[in-house]
Amino acid sequence: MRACLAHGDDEYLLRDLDVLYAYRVVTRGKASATTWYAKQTFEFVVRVGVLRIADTIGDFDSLRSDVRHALRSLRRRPAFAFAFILTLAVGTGVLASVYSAARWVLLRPVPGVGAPNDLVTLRLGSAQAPPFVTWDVSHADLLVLRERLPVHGALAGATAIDVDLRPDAGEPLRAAGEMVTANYFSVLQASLTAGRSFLPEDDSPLAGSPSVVLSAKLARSLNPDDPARLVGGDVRMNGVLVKVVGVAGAGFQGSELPGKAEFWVPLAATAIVDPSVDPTAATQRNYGAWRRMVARTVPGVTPASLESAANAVIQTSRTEFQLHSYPALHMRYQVNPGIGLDPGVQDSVKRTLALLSGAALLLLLLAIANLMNLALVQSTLRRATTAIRFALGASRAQIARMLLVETLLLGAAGALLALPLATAWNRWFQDSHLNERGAPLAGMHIDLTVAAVIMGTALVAALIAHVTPARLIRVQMLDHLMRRGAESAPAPQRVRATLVAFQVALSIVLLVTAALLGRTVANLRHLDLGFQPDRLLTYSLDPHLHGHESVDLDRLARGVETRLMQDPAVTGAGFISPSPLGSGYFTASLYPSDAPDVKPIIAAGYFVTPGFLPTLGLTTIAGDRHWAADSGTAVISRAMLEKLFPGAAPMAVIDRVLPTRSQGRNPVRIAAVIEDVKLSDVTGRTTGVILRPMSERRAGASLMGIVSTPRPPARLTALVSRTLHGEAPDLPLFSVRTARQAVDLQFAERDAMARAASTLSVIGLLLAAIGLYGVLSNIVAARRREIGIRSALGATPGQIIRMVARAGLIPVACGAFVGVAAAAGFSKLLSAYLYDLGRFDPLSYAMSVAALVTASMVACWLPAYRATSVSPVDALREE
Amino acid sequence: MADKTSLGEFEHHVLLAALRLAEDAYTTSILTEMEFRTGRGVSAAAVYIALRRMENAGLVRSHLRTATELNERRERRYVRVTPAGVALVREARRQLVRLWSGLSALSAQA
Repeated sequence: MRACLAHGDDEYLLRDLDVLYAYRVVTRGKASATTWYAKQTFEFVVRVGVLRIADTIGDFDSLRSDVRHALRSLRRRPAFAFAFILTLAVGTGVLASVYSAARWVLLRPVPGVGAPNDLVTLRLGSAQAPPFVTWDVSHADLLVLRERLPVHGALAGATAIDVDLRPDAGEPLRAAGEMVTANYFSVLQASLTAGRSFLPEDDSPLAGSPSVVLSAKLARSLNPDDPARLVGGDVRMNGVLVKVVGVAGAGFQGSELPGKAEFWVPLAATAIVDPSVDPTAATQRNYGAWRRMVARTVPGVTPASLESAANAVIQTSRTEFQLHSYPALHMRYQVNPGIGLDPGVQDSVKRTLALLSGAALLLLLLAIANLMNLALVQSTLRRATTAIRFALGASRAQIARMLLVETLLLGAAGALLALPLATAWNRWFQDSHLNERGAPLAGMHIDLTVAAVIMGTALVAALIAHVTPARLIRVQMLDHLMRRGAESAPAPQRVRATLVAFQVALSIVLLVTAALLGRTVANLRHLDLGFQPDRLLTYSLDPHLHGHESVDLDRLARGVETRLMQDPAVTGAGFISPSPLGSGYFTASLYPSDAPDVKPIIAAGYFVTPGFLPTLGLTTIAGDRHWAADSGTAVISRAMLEKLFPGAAPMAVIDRVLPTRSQGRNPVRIAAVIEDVKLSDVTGRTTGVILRPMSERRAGASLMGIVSTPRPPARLTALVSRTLHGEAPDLPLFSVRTARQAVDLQFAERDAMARAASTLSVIGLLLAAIGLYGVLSNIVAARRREIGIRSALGATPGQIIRMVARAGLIPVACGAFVGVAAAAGFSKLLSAYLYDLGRFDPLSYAMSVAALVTASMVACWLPAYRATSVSPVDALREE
Repeated sequence: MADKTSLGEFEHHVLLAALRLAEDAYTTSILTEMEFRTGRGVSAAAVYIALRRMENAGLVRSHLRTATELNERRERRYVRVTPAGVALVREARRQLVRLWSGLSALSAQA
């Protein structure tokens, strides 16, 4: 209360109120008096306090005058204003972008879903497996869960599927959708804009007349004028006509983020979605139909209680249904609150965002330290004018008001510039591979909340940076200034040196992070895969959806190969199934002998055409160099040979007949041994590979075509599309990319992190260098006379440069020492991302320190060089 | 100094209390006088702010003075109503009287 009153009024007013309080205690009682006193005091603080603030700000005319003065002042110091605004914008923009990404990924509601907070996701996983590994649940088991869990029947299942759609006019296209239970839309409370969803009788693979609900986006693309008219019509799905019964609401694309589903079909469409599946078999308890389930909870039911109840159902199901349900004892349900981001990737996404947030915060701190340095210089330079203002009668409040207005202007300008920077950064995130790897970044944008955060952060950062140094200028120093002049006044050099050391330490952390991640990506890019991905084009297709299997598929594949090889640009063409360069392979096994107790040797298995080996350029070290992929033969890799027959020479196994099942069943003849090749998890260790003929391919697996060319592979896309269309007009091509892109996709997350860290570290280094440059410039200005005297007494330019540089390099050395220690601690968070590299990798630390020292020496050089040009006569004359 | 041509009710009361107190008019004495005369609780902050506003408008003038009370010397800010303030109070009274005139039934109940 004392602070609210004008100087001189507080003493008497407070004492008088005390007297009145004492009087009221006597006349009205203590309680009444205390209440009265508290009310009086509170009103004073609020009403008079507001008045004091309003006085400080002043009336509108004064405010306008302060704004004009601030603009004039900043116009006279364009370098300072530009550096301040740009530094503030960079620090704030990066943080805002990461915040925007975190909000978009973690907090964004799934569009088109009603009351999402009441929904939970159920998945069948295992404590013994990573979180992203799940098992499918049979429809029969889902029905048991629906009956026994406390969800009042509101439990729906869904599985992602891909089909080939053929509209009435146009090329066939690949569409992603979901197979769902009939109550899917009602559980999610997702409304339809036309038609209806599914009926209970659709929940059986044996039901006739399958139907489909289209997404609003797909419906608009098929009939832009009136999508609702599609209801009642048909759409060709995998060559079969399916009736359209409904169009989903705008924006709804499933319960997952990113939402990719363009259509939904019930279980009744099983035979169309996957022609290789027997619908009768799909009704059995051991046929996994549902990859994930969604339930709508009721009040009082928590995810934890639902999880316990679901796992109790597993126990009783095993007994009731004789092990056909949940055959693996380690399986258990995991229930996660909410829908949207796949729980299997949530931890990984959160970890990535946390690291990025940490780096962005470091950068903001660095920016603030730099701003404080800049502001400190300005405060020092303006000491004389400030002293004159005081002498002419300006109050502290008026000076503070002018500084506040200037700070707010700088903060507002920094925030305005931060908005486009954050937008550009967001666009970079979206264009990175992260989108393809499941991070739901598509459509991310800066909204009002993020813009408000940008503005608030910029203003607070500006206030901290600009106002704090001003408090270092005490009135007593001003008196010293008036008598002795600005240059001779003690400048807060220690503060500035500390700020530089702080910036250097933060820069080292960012640089080490960038170096570790960059070296990791380089290690991954130079992996020896056993083939050269840079001259290969890959494409995917699903011929089995159109009934092409085994011999027919082999004939189709060989036909495409032959036609492609006729083009002079193509040096090789082949097919492989399942699609490699991801995680697709089948678990193949070979037995070293047909003895009854011998254990199988497991390897990654693929079905290939004869053109596959020469297309990839795989080296045959023994056996048939032109393997024709005849039925009953196989090619194995060196690692597989070593597992089967340790120490054996490759030639020793050629033409040996080995069983693929126990007791000597399903034997194959080993036609060739090739060098090791990594076809699936490229970041994992080398495992054995078994290649079998495409004619023996298992039904339902994906198929990838590979073409080699000495030219840039992407140029072959049109040729491949034309050739395939000539052989099979109903088959759409999808996932066309170079093999290099396919390989890079496997470490897209690390690549994105490395790029982000590199950019942030460069910005951080620049800011630290600017800060160091400012400190040294100020030192040179402050010690001009001393430098002039030293020159007059015979100091060489080299000695002066060393003197100035030493003043700058000491805080750099201190900061580097602290920074290396901090980086060593911070690198613990990076351990999960590093490949073939330790977190204390000496080369990364050495490179980071070297980069910093180089930048520091460049920043020191110019002021040091300017110091050598100080004329002793001029310097002495200035006294 | 802002031009002020009319008085609010609270400001009117504050000026009247200050005129009553003459040389002894300061924030808390005005507060006490107003509470005594009107029978209503008055906020010290409201009196303080009103006096500041009226000083800016030239209706009162304040000064610091040391007084001895109970063997203790105290410095207070005293206020005195200026001629402009007196004129405004008189005009406010004239307006009230003109408005009251002819309302004999109401005035009999007071």
